[in-house]
Amino acid sequence: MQKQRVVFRSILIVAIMLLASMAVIGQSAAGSASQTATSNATTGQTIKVGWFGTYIDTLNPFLSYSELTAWINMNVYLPLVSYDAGNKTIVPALASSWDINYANHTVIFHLNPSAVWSDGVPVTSADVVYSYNTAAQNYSFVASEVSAISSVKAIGTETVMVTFSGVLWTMWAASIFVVPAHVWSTVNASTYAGYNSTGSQYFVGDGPFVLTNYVPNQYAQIEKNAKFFIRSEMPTIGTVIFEEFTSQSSAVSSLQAGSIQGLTGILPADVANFQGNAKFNVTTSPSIEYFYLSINVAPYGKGNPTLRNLSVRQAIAHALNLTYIADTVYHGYATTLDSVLSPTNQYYWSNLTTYAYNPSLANSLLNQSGFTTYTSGGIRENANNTSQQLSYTVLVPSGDSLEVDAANIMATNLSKIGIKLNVQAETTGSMAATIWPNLTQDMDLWDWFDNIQSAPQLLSVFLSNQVVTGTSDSGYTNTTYDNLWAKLLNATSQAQAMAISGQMQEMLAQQLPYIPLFSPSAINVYSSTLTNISSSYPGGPFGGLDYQTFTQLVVKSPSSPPSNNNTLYYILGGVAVVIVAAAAVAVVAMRRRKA
Amino acid sequence: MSEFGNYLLKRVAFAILSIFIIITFDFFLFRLMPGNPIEILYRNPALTSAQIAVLNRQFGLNLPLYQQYYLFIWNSLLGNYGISIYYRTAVSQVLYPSLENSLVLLVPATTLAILLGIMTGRIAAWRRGTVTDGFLTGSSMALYSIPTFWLGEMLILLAIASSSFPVSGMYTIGEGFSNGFVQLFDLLRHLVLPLVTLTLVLYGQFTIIMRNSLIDVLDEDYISFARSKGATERYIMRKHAMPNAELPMISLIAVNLGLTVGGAILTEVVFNWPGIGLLIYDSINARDYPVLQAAFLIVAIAIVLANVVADVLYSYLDPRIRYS
Amino acid sequence: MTEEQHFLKLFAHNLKGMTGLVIVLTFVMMGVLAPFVSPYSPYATNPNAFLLSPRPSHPFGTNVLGQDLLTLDLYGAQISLIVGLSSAAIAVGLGLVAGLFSGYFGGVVDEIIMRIVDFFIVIPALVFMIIIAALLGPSTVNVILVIGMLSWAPTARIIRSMVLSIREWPFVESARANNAGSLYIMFRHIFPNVSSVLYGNAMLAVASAIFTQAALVFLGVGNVTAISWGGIIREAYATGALTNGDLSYVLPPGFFIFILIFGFIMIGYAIEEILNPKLRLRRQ
Repeated sequence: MQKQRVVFRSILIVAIMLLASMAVIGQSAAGSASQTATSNATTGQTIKVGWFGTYIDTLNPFLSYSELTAWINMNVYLPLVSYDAGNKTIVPALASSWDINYANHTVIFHLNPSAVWSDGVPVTSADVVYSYNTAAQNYSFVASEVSAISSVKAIGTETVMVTFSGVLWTMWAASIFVVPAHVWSTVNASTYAGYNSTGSQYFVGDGPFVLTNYVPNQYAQIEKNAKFFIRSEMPTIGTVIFEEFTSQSSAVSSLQAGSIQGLTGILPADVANFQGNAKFNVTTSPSIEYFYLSINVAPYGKGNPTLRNLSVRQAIAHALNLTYIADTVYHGYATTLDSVLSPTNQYYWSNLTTYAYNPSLANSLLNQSGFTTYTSGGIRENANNTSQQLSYTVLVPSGDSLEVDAANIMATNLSKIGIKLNVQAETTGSMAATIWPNLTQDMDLWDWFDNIQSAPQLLSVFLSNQVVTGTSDSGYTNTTYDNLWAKLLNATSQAQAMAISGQMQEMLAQQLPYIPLFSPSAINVYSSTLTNISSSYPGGPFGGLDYQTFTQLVVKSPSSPPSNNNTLYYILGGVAVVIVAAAAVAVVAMRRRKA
Repeated sequence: MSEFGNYLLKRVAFAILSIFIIITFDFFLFRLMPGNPIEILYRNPALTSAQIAVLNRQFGLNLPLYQQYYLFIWNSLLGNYGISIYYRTAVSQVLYPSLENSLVLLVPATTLAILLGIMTGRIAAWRRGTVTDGFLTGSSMALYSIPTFWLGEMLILLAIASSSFPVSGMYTIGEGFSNGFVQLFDLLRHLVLPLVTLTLVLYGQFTIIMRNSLIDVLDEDYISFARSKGATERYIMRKHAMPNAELPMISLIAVNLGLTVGGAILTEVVFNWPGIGLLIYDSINARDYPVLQAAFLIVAIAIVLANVVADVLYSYLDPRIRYS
Repeated sequence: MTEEQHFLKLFAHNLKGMTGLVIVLTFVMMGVLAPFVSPYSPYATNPNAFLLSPRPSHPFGTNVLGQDLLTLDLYGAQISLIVGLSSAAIAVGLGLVAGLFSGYFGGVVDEIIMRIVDFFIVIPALVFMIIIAALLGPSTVNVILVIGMLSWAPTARIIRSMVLSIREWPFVESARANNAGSLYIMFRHIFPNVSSVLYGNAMLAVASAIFTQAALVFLGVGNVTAISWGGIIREAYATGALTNGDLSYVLPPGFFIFILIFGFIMIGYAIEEILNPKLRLRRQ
């Protein structure tokens, strides 16, 4: 029996050794991460902010699809121009001035002569040309934003001339980041992760901060860029760490515990935790996210055909008690919508056809359309064709429990007018598979992020050709609408563009491929030691469109320095070692005595 | 010994076959998933057909299926898992750090659970039929019944209320640790709650396994023989029963590794532990096929190999086994 | 039939078994009676009464939508029992057939079935179920199928090992000599002798199915729209009730899952104890 004993023991010993080595590996992994963290952090205070739900995909601004990346990148790269806090007026960024000539369709940008990259190389027109050309490549996710540009020419080291069509020039000028050509031209931009993990130049940017560390799925760290050329906007804080969380629960508990100091996107149910607590400030900002109910109106769609009847869609719109849903699901932290553009978008049109909550009107609309008889289950059916029943399935992302809740209340609303709504919560991947390419769904409750607030970009979702690329979930096709979009792109004045987009919004409001639902407020909670934070930008200070959050932010009282309580750790560790050693000695001694 | 050699050969052949089946399975499973990953990831009003075509080419989704399959087998064997659709970098760059983090949690938890399980299982078997046995068996079954995620949440509630232990992540991010010792201490503090959760839910089953296999052994003839010769219970336990009962534990532990991995996913999700379970969970939502495929492959192959090793070890050590 | 009576007598005297039975029956009652005893409709929302703390009108408080948590917890028993029992039925049924064929025919059939069983025992089932559940879509029927189809392997292995010895028994030999069909022998002669083990195994299968269902819902790949205990825990986790420290929100559903699983495990263990004399308590 000795053989087994020895082998079993050795397995245990190997396991324990593995355990110890794992602890060391874990420690060294943490070690390599924090090495860089301490390198430059002496120049100012460090603050940590949280983010949950999605992770940084890549830090390459031409490839990223993540909002967190966009938020980080707006601190490290500059676009040609920016918007002011009111989100309406254009202000200088990399370009200190610009001349627009609508007749020639050109705009000439004069770059700030003192602009310099964090490695000391001056920012020149070559960088702008490189960035705009990269943005236009097929692999780029911002290609559509520069699709109106026909050429970008350097006419001097600090002057760039862009030829474009239409009036929506701010759409690209304020959103395309200019990257350092001298770094990027040495890499393959279609696969570049946005930073070099090896080599002396970890990351080069021209913004107020520079990226100094990034651990995928865990955090990214930026530090004050000492070479930032807009001296008046030099940050007072030294380091910002963006910590990524899987769930809102873990992010909120970290905020409560004080390990992060700011978070946007707190759920309404959590507000009570922070309100009235002197350690925290609670603010709300308009959201860039909005929810809608898409109805399958595609002429060839395979959903329930009764939904192609406009009266049925109008009845549904009148039967939904959006105020009640917003109050129940979002506890009042949401505004109901009437347009497919969010109210903060510059092209939002306010005088649209609306559908007030009115179940009796909804009932009479259905009666007039011939849905006068009921099945045994109380579902309305067409009196002349009983196979046409008002029974629908709505797809809703299972990852967002608030959306599922909203859909469930809608089902209750619609049951009052004899419409049966089955709520089917699925992963977004399964939803996409049902919807595209054949449009087999009845309805879906989903959301869009309207993050280019200077352009009516989301109106393009309803273009006929979007059905092919899989973004039109309503299958709306209307050539009049398509022609208006073409006219919008070639408008010759801002006012004309506004009017056309208003006309398009009204078309959608009347024909109801989407029933716009609500835009939940962005709820921000941050430590009361952080001051000078604005909540006016859409999306809030921590993750929205505010590129000035960290340049303006001031830490009121210095956060207490990390407790230099090394002796305590040594004592605790020492005690643990002594206990383990004593136990080991005791075990060995007892064995000896028995044997 | 040649009989053993044959057995060994058979087990290894089975392992290779299993791995091949797993790879094949892995490939087709993800091709069957609804939804083109490109479509859902880049649900972008502005994406053109030309751009989608470029992406499909980049991720090899435009090739005929048999070619994709052939490439997949070849690349899996080479350890090349392709490019992550979400992170746009090599899958191994995302996967290996997660795997390492998972092991930091899994290895201590499993080891602890096994050691504790052996201890209490032994006591329960020794005192079978007594109140002690009833209590130990009952509490083991109770621990085995606790939903992992709920236990984790209860501990989070406690930790927040007492502000004692960090409830999320693996170490304090961005902290300038003054030395490695403080840093290790930080890791251990973060490890406490997930470790306790995982150990508790695994511990119950190991106690029951140990108790039952010991009781089986205690009824063997040679034990009765030893007892009739006047050997003390303690001596019989230590010299005869334990060595024989520990043996079946080896293969049972290997068989239970699949369950352990399941427990780890739930624990990692609840505690935001950046391991492979959390990676799988996130990749499902992002429809990141290459990462999911690689994660599934690595976990499944590791378990198959562990089982083969355990089986071979078991049959090598136990003289009674017939290599059939 | 005396054998069965003997079994029932032993079971009635088994403390573990009876405790388990009482627990399970309590939850069955709870599920069946939920619509009649619940103070509220489980779907009734109230924007003015969300996240209430426990009070006489809402003994467990209310959730984020103002729904009564006691009502939801009572209704939650239904889906756990339905999914647990149906998927265990599928798993045990499949395992029985596979085990009978494998053990009775032996040879190549046995080899193939057992290799498949090895594969299913070894793979990380939860990972697999997450992926398949996401693939099939999240209806309750799909969840039942996924759990059932992926948990039959342990039953097959146990049944096979029993069949291996039973098929050598004289009465099976004589049936074979009388040219009885294989299927007839399997289900007429062998099955009754393995059925008792099957019951014990089925109880454990129900327990693990209840756990898996809750875990899948918690991870968001199960049916999140049906009222379930896993769903209440998930909602508490996702919407901030957990960080609020709302004990009455998180504690009861998890506790119910725990107790119900515990009940089934106790029954299963008691059956095993009765059938395997070695495990039976020796009264000294």
